[in-house]
Amino acid sequence: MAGTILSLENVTVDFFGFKAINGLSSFLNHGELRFLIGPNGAGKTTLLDVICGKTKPTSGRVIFKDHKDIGRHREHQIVRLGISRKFQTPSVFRNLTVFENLELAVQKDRGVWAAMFSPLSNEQQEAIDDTLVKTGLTDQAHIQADLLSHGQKQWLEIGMQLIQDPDLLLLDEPVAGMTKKETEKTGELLLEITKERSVLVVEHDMEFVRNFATKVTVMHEGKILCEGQVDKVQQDPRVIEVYLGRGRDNVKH
Amino acid sequence: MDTLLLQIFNGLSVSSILLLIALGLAITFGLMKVINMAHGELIMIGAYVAYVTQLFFIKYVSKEFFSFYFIVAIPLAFVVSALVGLLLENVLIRFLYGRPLDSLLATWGVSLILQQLARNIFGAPNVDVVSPSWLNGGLRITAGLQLPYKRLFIIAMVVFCIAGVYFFFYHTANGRKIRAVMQNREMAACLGIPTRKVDAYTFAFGSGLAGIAGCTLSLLGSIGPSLGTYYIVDAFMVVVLGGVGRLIGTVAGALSIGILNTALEFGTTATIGKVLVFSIVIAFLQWRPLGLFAIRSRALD
Amino acid sequence: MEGVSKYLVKEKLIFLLAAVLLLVVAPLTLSGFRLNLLGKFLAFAILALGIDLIWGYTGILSLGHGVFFGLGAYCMAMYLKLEAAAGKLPDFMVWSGLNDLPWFWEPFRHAGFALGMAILLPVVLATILGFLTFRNRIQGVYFSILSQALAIIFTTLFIGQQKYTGGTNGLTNYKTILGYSLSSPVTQTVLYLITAVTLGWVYLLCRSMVKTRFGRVLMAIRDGENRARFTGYDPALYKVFIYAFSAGLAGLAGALFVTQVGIISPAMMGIVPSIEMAIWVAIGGRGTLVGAILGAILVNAAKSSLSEAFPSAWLFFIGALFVGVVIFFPEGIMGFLKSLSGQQRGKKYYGRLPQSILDMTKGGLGNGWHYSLLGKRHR
Repeated sequence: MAGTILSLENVTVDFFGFKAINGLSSFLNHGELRFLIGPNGAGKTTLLDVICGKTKPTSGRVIFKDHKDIGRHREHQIVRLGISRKFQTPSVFRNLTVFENLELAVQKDRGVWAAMFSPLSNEQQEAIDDTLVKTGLTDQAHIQADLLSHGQKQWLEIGMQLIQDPDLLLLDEPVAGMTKKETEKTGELLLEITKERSVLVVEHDMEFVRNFATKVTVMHEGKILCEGQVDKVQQDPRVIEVYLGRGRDNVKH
Repeated sequence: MDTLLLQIFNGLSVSSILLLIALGLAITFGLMKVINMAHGELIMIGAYVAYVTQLFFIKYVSKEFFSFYFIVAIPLAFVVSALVGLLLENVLIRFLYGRPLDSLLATWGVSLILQQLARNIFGAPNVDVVSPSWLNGGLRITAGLQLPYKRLFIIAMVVFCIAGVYFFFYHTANGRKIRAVMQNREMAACLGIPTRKVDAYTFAFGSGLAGIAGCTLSLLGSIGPSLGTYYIVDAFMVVVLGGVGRLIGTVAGALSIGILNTALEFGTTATIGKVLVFSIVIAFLQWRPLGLFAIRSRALD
Repeated sequence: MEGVSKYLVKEKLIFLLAAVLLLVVAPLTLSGFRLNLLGKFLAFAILALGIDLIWGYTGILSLGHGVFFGLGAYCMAMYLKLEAAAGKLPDFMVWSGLNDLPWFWEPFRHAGFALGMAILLPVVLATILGFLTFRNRIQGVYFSILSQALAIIFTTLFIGQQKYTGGTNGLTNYKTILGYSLSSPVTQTVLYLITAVTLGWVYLLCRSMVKTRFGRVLMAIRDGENRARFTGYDPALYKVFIYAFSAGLAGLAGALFVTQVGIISPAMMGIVPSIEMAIWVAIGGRGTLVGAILGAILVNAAKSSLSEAFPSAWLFFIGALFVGVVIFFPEGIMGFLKSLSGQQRGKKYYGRLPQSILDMTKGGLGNGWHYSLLGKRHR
C-alpha cells in the first residue's frame, strides 16, 4: 500500500484574473488520511474541485495512480477511475429512498443497458446492507432520502461514496452541522475508511482535526503554507498569523 | 452591392427591434428566473395601442396634426404594456419565481388568452397602421441606395432606449438595486432592498419596452393578434445566444441574429436562412454553452 | 411487502379493465366517427408517454415534440400518398411542376420502410440534437427554447419546400393502406385496434423501463444532475437515450395518427401543438405514466367537444388550463386523485414503518414534495 496515489504538479486555477489556486504542488500516499485546512478563500474547495474534475485547472497536472493527467477527464470518468467526492452541503437524490440511493452508487457498470438489464447481484445486495449498518441507516432504508435529518443525509452521502469502493475519497466539511455525538461517530468512520483507502478532508472544525488528523496541509491564498504533523503545524508561526488574521503584510512567504 | 448594403441596413433595423424585445426577456429571466411567453403579446398590445391612437386621431384631432399620433403612441404603448405587465406580475408571475419551466407553460396560457381577447376585440384579420407622413421617403446615400426614414427612425429610437436602459442600470441607485437583486437575491434582501418592488417594477419596465417594440413594428407592416408569436422565439434565441445577466450580451446576440437572419435569407431563401441561423446558433453553443457574455460564478448550479 | 403486492394486483386489474374497455367495449358501442376520434387520442397518448419519460422522469421539457410527431406522420403519409397516386406522380407534385418523383420519395412505396423511417428519422434527429446540447450541459429552459426553435425551423422548412412536402396544405387525400380502402369502417376499426394495442404495449414497455434502475437513474438526474455525475453516471448519455426514445414514440404516434385522421400538415407540428403536448402530460400528472395517457385523452376529448361548439371559448379554456395546472395542480389529475384517496406517492414504503415515524413524516411529505419542473426548487 505504499507509494503515491495522487500528485499535483504546479496546479493553477485562474477565475478571470483571480488565482484561486496558484502553482500548487503536493502529493498524497496510499492509505493516507490527510486534512486540508486554511482560512476562508484559501482555495481548499477549489482544490477538491480540480481533483474531481468539476473545475478544470488553467495549468498544471493532476496525476492519479498511473493516469497521467486527469485534469482533462470528465467528472463521471474520474469517478470511475476511483475518486469520489462529497460536497459541502449534503446532496443525495431526494425523491429516491435511502436504499435506492445506495443502489445507484453500488453499481459498477453505469451504462444505459446495464441500468436496464442487470439487476443487483447478491454481493451488491450485501454491500448495501453492510453500508446501511455502517452508517446506521438500516431502519430508514425504505424512506425517501428527503425525510432524513441533516446528519443522516451526510452519512448517506458518505455511504454512497464508500459503496463505490473508491481508492481516493474527497470530503468537504463532512461534520458541518453535525452534533457532537454525530461528529465523533463520523471521525471513527473516517479512521475505519482509511484502513483501505486514501482520504482527503477539508475541515474547519479544529477540534475534529486535532482529534483525528495525523498529517495536515495548510492552505493560504491558493498556495500551500505548510504541511506536517498536527502539533507541529499548530506551532508554526506562519499558520498562527494566518489564522489570527494579522493582515497579509506580516506574512512573509 | 447596393442591395447588399440595403439588406444589411434592414438587418440592422430588425436587430434593433429584436433587441428591444429581447431586453425585456433577458432582464426578467436574469432577475426572476421566469420565462415570459406572454412577452410576445405585450408587443401585440403595443402595436394595437398605435392602431387605436391612430383611430383616435382620425376621429377627434384635426388632420394637420395626424402625423403626430405616432409621437403620442410611443409613450402610450410603453405605459399600457407596462401596466399590463405589472398586473401580470402581481397576479401570476410572482408565484412562479425561480421556476423557469413552470412559468413558461403558465405564461403561454396567458398568451393564448390575450391573443383570443385581441381577436374578440379587434377581429381576427390583420389591420394596418398608416405611417406618419414625416417618416415616408428615405435618406439617399448613393444613386442606388436609399435608407428609408422609417427604419432610420426605428434604429435611432432603439439606440435611445438602450442608452436610457444602460444609464439607468449602471449609473442610478435604482439600477444598482436591480443588479444587486439579480446577482444575489438573499443578500440584497438582507441589505434592505425591497426585492418584491424591484421585481414588479423591473418586470413592468421590460413589458413597457416590449410595448415600444410593438409600436415600432406597426411601421413595418400590418398587425394582428398573433403578431408577437413571430418574434418571441427569435427573441429567446437572442437571450440564449447572448447569455443572461449582461446588457452587452443581449445587444451582441440581437445584432448577430438579426443580421445573420437577413444576410442568410438574402443569400439563400427565407426558409433555408432560418435553418442556417438555427444551425449556427447550435454550433456556437458547442463552443460557448453559456452564450456570448455570461456571468460566471464559483457556485454549483 | 404485502402492501406492494396488493398494489400490483390492483394495477393489473385496472390494466385489464382498460384493455377490455378499449379493445371490446369501445369498438362495439361507439359510432365510426367517435371510434376514429378515440383512435386519434390513443395515438396522442403514445406520444404523451414519451414526453412524460423525458419531462416527468428526467426533468427535460421538450417543446419540439411536434417535429418528431410530424416526421413520423409525414413518413407514413408519403407511403399513403404514393399508394393513392397508383404509380403516377402525387397530385401536389404535378401542381408544383415536378416531372419525376424525388429520389428520397422512391423507397416510401413500401409500407414497412415508411413505418421504419417514421420511427428512425425522429430517433436520429433527436440523437443529433440531444448530443449537441446535453453534452454541453445545455439544460433547463435553454434546452426548451432550442427545442422550440426546432419546431419553428421544421414548420418553415416544410411550408417552404412545397414541391416535396405539399407546403401549407400538407399531405392528404389518401385512398388505401396495403390495398385496403381507408374509408371502409372495417379498415378504420382495425387501425383503431392496432393503435390501442400499440398503446398498451408501449405503456408496458415504458413501465418496465422506469421500474428498473434505469428509471431511478433518470429521476436521479432530474433531482441532482451533478450528484449523478459524481456517482459516476454520464447524464448526457442517459438524456440523449431517453430523448431519442421519446422522439421515436412520437414518430410512431404520428404514423398511427395519419392513417386514422387522413391528413398531416405543418400546422400540426409547429410550436403551438408542441407546447400543447406538454400540457397534456402536466394535466394528467407528470411522472406517472397513467397520468400521461389520461391527460392526452381527456384534454383532446375536451378540445374536440369544446372547440366544435365554441371555437373561441376553447382558447380561453386551454389558456386557463395552462395557468391553473401550473399554479394549483402541479401534480395534475393523478396527484389530485391521490390526495383525494389520502394516498401520497411513496406511501407504499410506509407499510414497513412504525406508526410513530409515519406520524412524524406526514407533515413533511406534504411540503416540499412538489418538485418543480426543473427538477429542483430554486430558493
